Formats: sequence, structure tokens, C-alpha cells
Amino acid sequence: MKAWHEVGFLADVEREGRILARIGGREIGVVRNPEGGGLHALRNRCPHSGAPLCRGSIRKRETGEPGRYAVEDRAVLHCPWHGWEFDVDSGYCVDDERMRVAVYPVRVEAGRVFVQA
Amino acid sequence: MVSERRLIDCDIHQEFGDPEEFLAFIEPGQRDWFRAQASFGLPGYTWSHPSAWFRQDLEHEPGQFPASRVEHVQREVLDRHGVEIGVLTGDDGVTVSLMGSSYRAAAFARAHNDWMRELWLEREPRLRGSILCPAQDPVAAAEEIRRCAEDDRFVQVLLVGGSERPYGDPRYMPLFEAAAESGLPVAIHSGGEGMGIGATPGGAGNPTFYIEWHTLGSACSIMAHLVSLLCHGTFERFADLRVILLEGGLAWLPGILWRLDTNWRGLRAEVPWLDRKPSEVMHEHVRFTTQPLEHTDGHDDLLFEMLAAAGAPEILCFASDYPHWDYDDPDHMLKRLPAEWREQVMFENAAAFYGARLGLVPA
Repeated sequence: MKAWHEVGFLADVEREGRILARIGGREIGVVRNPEGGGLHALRNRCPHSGAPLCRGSIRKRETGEPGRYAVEDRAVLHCPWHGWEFDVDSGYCVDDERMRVAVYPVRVEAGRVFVQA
Repeated sequence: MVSERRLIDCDIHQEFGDPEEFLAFIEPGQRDWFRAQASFGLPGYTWSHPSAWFRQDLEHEPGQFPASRVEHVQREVLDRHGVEIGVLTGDDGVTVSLMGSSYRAAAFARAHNDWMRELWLEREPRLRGSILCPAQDPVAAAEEIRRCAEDDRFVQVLLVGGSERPYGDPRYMPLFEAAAESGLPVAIHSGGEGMGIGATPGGAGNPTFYIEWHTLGSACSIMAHLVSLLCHGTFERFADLRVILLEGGLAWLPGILWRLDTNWRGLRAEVPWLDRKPSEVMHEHVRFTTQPLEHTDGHDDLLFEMLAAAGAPEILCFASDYPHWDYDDPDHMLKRLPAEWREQVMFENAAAFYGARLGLVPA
């Protein structure tokens, strides 16, 4: 059973958009979806080329027909370097499912954020 | 040498013979204008082959071009190599869509298509034709495509590499729509880059020498059209549309596809209608002719490994480019190709691509 680790204050995530913590040698980030405020914990390393993934932005994924633009309800995390998109729940790269970043359960208790890793 | 193998040649250039023979197909009200122009008013290059555009071993009447009579094509291509079907692509006529006047261009394209039908397709059942159209006026182009599509011996629409904008641009939609609705693939043949109203080749300006154009210009336009058609979602818009890219080289293909797929992962928000890798779409909808297959200085194994990474052999169709100087001989090509690719590249891929309009009988 993996342990729960306290990684910071909810107020910090809400203000900064993210907090980072080191757990067992891995850097893990908790990021906040600006749409709805949900929290997601991911390893802070892009599997494509090593960028600090949690510094990226969460946006609704674009979709459309040729020449027409729309957005899906699904939120994706855009890597801050090359813009590859990751599903914040599963960790899979949306456009290349051979690539996946580790994701972790996250919970909030009394204004403090905990990650299970 | 004629062997048991089956062969389709996807790029045979027939040439103009006596100018009056062609002018007879121009509508009467415009005939004098075309007669008065050099090269029927088609735009010209600022550079040229240093000695001859054509193979020098071909026999033809004094003062005439090689491949300017159906007997030349029969003798030197169809009979000599046992070509079952040869697809005619004309030659300079393909630059019609770079003429300054779209009205003249429409008249030229109509005449070229009628000349193709009457003097070539009527005279040799192994030949198939390409439909020229004035791409600078896509609505008129669509009309000409629909007019010619009724004749099953026309197997494709033919565009030239030189263009005002890459062909994925929405302005060209009526043209692609007409092709798709007629069940005709669209061929894009390198050439015309920097001519007439066309953009300069490669983005760096016009080259000085023919060697520069032949190395870069012809390849760059084909790359640009491929990337443009994929990015604009042309194949999402027209699910049955097929495209064949002629004489733009091949060794660059895996590199361009790797770049495009990589960029798509990061820049998909610009073209969010692309819901899968562009290279996958290409593999379903696009084919390439082989000539001029790059001479590799002993690295053919590497070339074929790279082409396999880009989807070969399914995407390749043989073309000789007769009667041009950089012709690929089919028997020589057979020896170069990996043994397990030969039937597909020399025959099967083109037979599947062009389909029923070839009228092939099973072996």
C-alpha cells in the first residue's frame, strides 16, 4: 500500500496553479484545472523530452471539422516545451498513447494537499 | 525486354506535334490569340536544361518533338516494355493554371483535353488520360473536370506543382470536390514552380540554374502540397479523395512525415480537425510515383528502409517519365526494387489506385 504524503497547502495551489514536492526521489506536481478547480497529481517530467510537465497549462482540448473550430469538454495538460497534450486523469499523451506520465491519487484535508505515491 | 511481369506506367509525357494540329481544338474565338503566342501562351521558366529536355536516343521526325505521335509512344514505351496501361500527362500544358488569364487557361485546358481524347486515347486503347483544368479559377476548373469525367478513359485530374498557394487552401475546394464527386484522383506533377502567376520555389527566391530547380524546386512544391492537403483536412472533408504526387522525389518523404507528425502533436490546436497522425491519413489517401528514384551511391538498402518507414511499398507506383532525359527504365527499376516490392510497385498499387477506369482484365 502506497503511503499518503502531505505536499502543501490548497491555498498555494489555488494561487500558483501548482505545487511541487519531492517524494522518494521523484518530483511530483499537483496542478489545478482552472475550469472547476479539480486537482491532479502527475510526475513533473514529460516522457517526450524531460520538460517540467507541471509548469504547463490545462486547457480544454480543441476539436472541429475542417475550417471550423470548437473545444471538447475534456481538459488536457499542455507540456510547457513542445505542447504535447496529456490526459490529466490517465496520464496518457492524447496523440501518442505509447507515451504516458505517471499520475497519482490526490486528496485535500483541512486545507492541506496529500498525494499517494 | 518484355517479360511475364505486368506493368503500369503512371507518367508518360506526350508532346505537341504540328501546332495547327493542337490549335484546331481551341475554340474559334480564341484560336488566333493562341496562334500568335510563343508556346501557346503558356508561361516559361527563367532557366532551362543545358542541352536537351528529352532522351537523345529517341527517333522522331525532323523538326518535331519526340513522343509527339502515338506511334512513338507505342514503339518506345508500350510495345518495348510490355506496358499494359500508360497514363498520359501531357507536358508543358500542365502549366496552364499558371497563365495570367484564367479565360485563356480555361480555353487551353478544354482544347488539351479534347486533343488528348481525339489524337491519343482514340488511337491507342492502352493509354489513359489526365484532365487539365484552370486551377486559377477553381469553379471553371470544376466545370471542366465534370465535363471530361464522363469519359472513362480519363483517369485523373492533373495539377502542376507551381501554384499561387498550396492546394489545401480552401479556394481550391470546388476543384477537389468535383474530382471526389467524379470518383477521380488528383495528380500533382512537379513543374511550373516560379512560372507565370506561381509562387517562387522553396521560399528562397528563384534559382539561377536548372540543376537547382531540378534538385529543389520540384521536390519543395510537392512537399508543400502534401503538407497543405493534410493540414487543411482535405481528406477529412472529402473522404473518398485520393491524390498521387508525381516526380517530386521520394527520399525526403520520411523526414517530412516525421516532422509533420511531431508538429501535429504540439500544434494540433491550429488544425484540430486532424484527429490522427497526418502520416496515417497520407497512407490511406496519397500515392507517389517512383521516378526519379534517387540514385543513392550504393545506399539503396538505406533508401528502401527509409521508404518503408514512410509506408512503402503500398504508397509507390512506377513511372518512367518518358521521353524526358531523367527517364527511369522499367527493367532497370525492377532490378533496383526489393524483390518483394516489385509486383506492387510496378502494377498492383496503380491498378488499385486508378481502379475500374483502367478497364484491366485479371491475369
